[in-house]
Amino acid sequence: MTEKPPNKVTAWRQVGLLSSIPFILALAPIVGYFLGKYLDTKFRTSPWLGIILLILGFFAGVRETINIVKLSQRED
Amino acid sequence: MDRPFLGKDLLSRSLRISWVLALALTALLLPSRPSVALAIAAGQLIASSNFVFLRTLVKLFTEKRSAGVPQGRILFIVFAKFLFVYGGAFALIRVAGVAFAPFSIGLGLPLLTLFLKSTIANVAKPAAFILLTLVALTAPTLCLAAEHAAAAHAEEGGSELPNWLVILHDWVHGNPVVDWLNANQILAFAWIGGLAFLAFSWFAMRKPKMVPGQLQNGLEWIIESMEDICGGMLGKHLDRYFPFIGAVFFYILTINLIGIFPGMKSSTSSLDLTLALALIVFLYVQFSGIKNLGLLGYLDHLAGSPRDAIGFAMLPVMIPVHVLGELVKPVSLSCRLFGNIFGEDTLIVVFVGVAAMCLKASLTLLAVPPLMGITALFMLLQTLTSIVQALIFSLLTTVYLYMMLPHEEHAHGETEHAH
Repeated sequence: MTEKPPNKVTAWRQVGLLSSIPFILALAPIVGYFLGKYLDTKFRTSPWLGIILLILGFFAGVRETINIVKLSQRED
Repeated sequence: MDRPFLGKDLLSRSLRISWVLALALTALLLPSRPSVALAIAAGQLIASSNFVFLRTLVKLFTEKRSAGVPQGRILFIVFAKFLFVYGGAFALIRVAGVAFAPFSIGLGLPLLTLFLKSTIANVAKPAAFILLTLVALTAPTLCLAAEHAAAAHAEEGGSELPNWLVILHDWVHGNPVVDWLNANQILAFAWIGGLAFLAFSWFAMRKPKMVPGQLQNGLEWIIESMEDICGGMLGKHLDRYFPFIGAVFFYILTINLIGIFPGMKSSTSSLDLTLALALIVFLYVQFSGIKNLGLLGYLDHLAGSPRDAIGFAMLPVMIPVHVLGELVKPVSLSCRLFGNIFGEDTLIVVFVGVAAMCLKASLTLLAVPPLMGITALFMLLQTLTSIVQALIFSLLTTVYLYMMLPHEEHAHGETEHAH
């Protein structure tokens, strides 16, 4: 089976979505860590929420990446 | 009698315009930077004299050949040209110590005016006017840029070129409005961008016609292309969301492109503005999500749409993961836009810095290519990046909105598409 070349819309969407993967992967744990650190100071739970949200940030990054790849593969 | 400045031919008109530009620049810079102003005027004088000599020589060689021009006269003019133009330039730089960068800008003014007038006059007068203004704006900016870059490199490895607000602040001391504008440059240039966008839209569409003019046609083409791209994803929801997406696109595009003009600054090279834009998009997307899915549907979406016992058991983990996934989107949007535009600006600063160091070390010939050539090359690259980044920002906004549409609710749960 031959693969259909992506149309203009799909191609631009793929550029936008796929190029955001490095940012998502890198920033999700960072956002998680800083959110956790802020909550730690708020609830005096240091360092647990920072560590937990850092790990969850990794998961969120991977999960968003999977979503992005799926979304970029979808035809219009 | 030969009166090159009063004639109606191309050279005379070009020389007149270059003199007006040079004198305007001199008058503008004289109070704050007299050495720079005088160097520009000296360069203009030398270059226009060169043209006058050349013109006389060409006339002697062509028109009056049949009349038999004495060789002595030609030799005298050639000698006078060498003495005045080359000797004068050498003496000004080496003996009088005239700054090379502004002097070469003054030298280039008549040549650029002639080039622009001969190539662009037939296309459109407004275009020629804009380019000439650009050249006029470039001159003092590059001179000051070289100085500031040298100073910044010496102090802390500076990261941006001086813009018109910095120059104005250097010039006008103690004015509270200028002080405030200088302290809030990002905001000031963002406003300028917004106003420029408004003015352009109004100008292009103030009298829409069935058979559009060039400007209306161009704007309609951009909007229709955007509609095509966004319509492929949003479908019947396009009409509701396109005004927002279009506004985001044009606003970011204008702000990005403004930085290309010498003396201006892209506000998107600051994380403050890109984060603010991304937050607006984030809030709008969340608001649309609540409006489209209802509060319960939205919370279900945030929880990852659990449909079985395992899904519900995983809720304490999935909710923060999903919330983090939503939070990282605006951060990613803003970092990408900021990174690209800031990167371009920094590249230009680095090369101007190199030129400034060359100037400082008296390696004047080495300083010209980095100042003019490479900076111009990066400006072209910046134009491309500005358009692509504005497009990607608005496209991702469209994608995020698309993910919040009701039909997305099942697909987003990574199971099946509801269509």
